[in-house]
Amino acid sequence: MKKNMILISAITLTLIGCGSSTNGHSNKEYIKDIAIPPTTNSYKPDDGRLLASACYGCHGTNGVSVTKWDSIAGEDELYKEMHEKKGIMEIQAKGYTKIEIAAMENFLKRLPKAEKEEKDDEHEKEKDDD
Amino acid sequence: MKRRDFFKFLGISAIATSIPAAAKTIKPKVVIIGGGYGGRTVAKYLKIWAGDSVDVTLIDKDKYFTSPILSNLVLNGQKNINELRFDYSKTRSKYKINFINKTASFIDKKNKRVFFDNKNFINYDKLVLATGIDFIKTNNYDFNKVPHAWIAGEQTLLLKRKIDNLHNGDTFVLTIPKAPYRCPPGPYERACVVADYLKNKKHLHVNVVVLDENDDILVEKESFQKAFDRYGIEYKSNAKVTHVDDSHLIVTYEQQGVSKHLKAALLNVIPNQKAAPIVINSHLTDSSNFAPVDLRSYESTIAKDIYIVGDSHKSTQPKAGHIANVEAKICADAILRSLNGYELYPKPKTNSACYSPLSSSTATWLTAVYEYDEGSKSMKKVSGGAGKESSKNYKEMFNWTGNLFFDTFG
Ligand SMILES: Cc1cc2nc3c(=O)[nH]c(=O)nc-3n(C[C@H](O)[C@H](O)[C@H](O)COP(=O)(O)OP(=O)(O)OC[C@H]3O[C@@H](n4cnc5c(N)ncnc54)[C@H](O)[C@@H]3O)c2cc1C
Repeated sequence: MKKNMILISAITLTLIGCGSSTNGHSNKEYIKDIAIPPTTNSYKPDDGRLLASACYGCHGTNGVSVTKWDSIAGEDELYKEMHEKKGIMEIQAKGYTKIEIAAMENFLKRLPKAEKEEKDDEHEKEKDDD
Repeated sequence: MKRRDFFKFLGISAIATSIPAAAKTIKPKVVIIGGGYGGRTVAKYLKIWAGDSVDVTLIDKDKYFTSPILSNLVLNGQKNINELRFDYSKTRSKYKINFINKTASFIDKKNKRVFFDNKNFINYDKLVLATGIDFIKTNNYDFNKVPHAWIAGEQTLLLKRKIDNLHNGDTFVLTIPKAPYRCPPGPYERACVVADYLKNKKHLHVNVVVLDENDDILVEKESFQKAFDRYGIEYKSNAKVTHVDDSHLIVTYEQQGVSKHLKAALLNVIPNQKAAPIVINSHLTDSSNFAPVDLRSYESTIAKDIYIVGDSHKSTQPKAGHIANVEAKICADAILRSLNGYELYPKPKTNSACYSPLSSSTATWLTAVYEYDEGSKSMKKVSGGAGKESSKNYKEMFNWTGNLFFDTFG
């Protein structure tokens, strides 16, 4: 599985200007190399994969974050992770059953862990958001 | 490339009369209209989950999509609009999704075709409409004189220019449509961001008036009320806009049966909303003006093999981009289950997240989880909450959008 991973240079979020395109603004923060599993040539349903995909809006496609927020690819302690966070995550955690979380974890843990990045204000995030 | 070659290149027969019977493709063809939050995500996840076994074509009238999310920050100069624009190059090259840069004009449901004009069409096995919203105007007035800026892009830039032209003593009026409309906290957020900009950045005394057709602040009431008080925003509830005079910039509204007028230097009317024109014209909506769907798949309850995700569909879920991205994945998976002969996933869940800037350095958030309820066939909120205004939330907002933009457009 890991071997078949293809490294795809992620996201262009290409800047299309009207006239000059850069204006000194850059989307560099989002430009990273992200591994995305190869596209298969057949479809097999996977309930855990479907449920887990609802996390990607905040944690990145296939659980690989491109911001300071946590990656969840390779996560094998999902229930604990979900329940020890405050803020948005605390409310999200309340919305899922143990069975659903187990199904999500069963999918996520098989994905290769994303490289840990230096996350400067990561600790701040653990604290209450309010 | 000539138009005909272009269609050939996509493997599409361009001329209605020239389709040979044997041209039926083996791979199922999924066609998606709309490359915003919903449509782009459906296309991407069909490919991630089924690869070459499915042929995916995305149609959008624009060369790039401008995100309404964060667009209020263009108004106060915190974001450049270029940072919110996403073209189709990655969608095409990375995921092998065909892209047609045209307006879809009508759907032939019987023959399963989407027409661009009287002649040119594309066939589909499954069709997804992720076409966003359209406006219900009170009367015929010019959006160039009274911008909505509720579909981001030129309208956002126009409103920004008009805000930058305001002077001391002017009145800025923003009107909030009747729910359901796109992004429940969005208008309250805009009032705050603009008031803060005028007061604290431009050092102007501009009267900011909010006319809300709803009977109260719909979401995050405490936070918005506090900010309104701080900025001295005049908030009027139950104020239904009945007429817009675009040459004198006078808005007429009705409050408790009394008709009143307000003259402004700048009018930002956010009109009431309905599903996009192609959804309405294809008779896929009901009396709500939005499209009823089976919420396990987003397939229309009116027409088979047509799916509607995002702001155009009818449900209890908010009309918002984050949740459109989640609905899109449920839809993509349901389409693949259907094409491959599997049962639908019976109890899908969606979630919504939304950060609202209240100034150039503070924000709140709002989040919820929804679950499919078999009994009522609707999405029930099973968890929800909001976070208070803070500068930390302002920074977190970009961690959120970074991943949401990536998961949708990258
Ligand atoms: C100021 C503001 C702030 C917001 N903030 C948030 C937020 O914090 N969080 C959040 O979740 N949501 C937010 N939203 C809401 C969010 O932007 C929308 O809900 C979301 O864009 C809806 O996605 P969609 O796919 O339904 O439609 P859209 O994203 O609008 O995409 C529709 C696409 O369809 C195309 N199209 C339509 N008809 C046709 C046709 N006939 N042929 C070809 N192409 C067609 C359009 O060109 C467009 O690209 C905000 C909105 C605004 C205005």
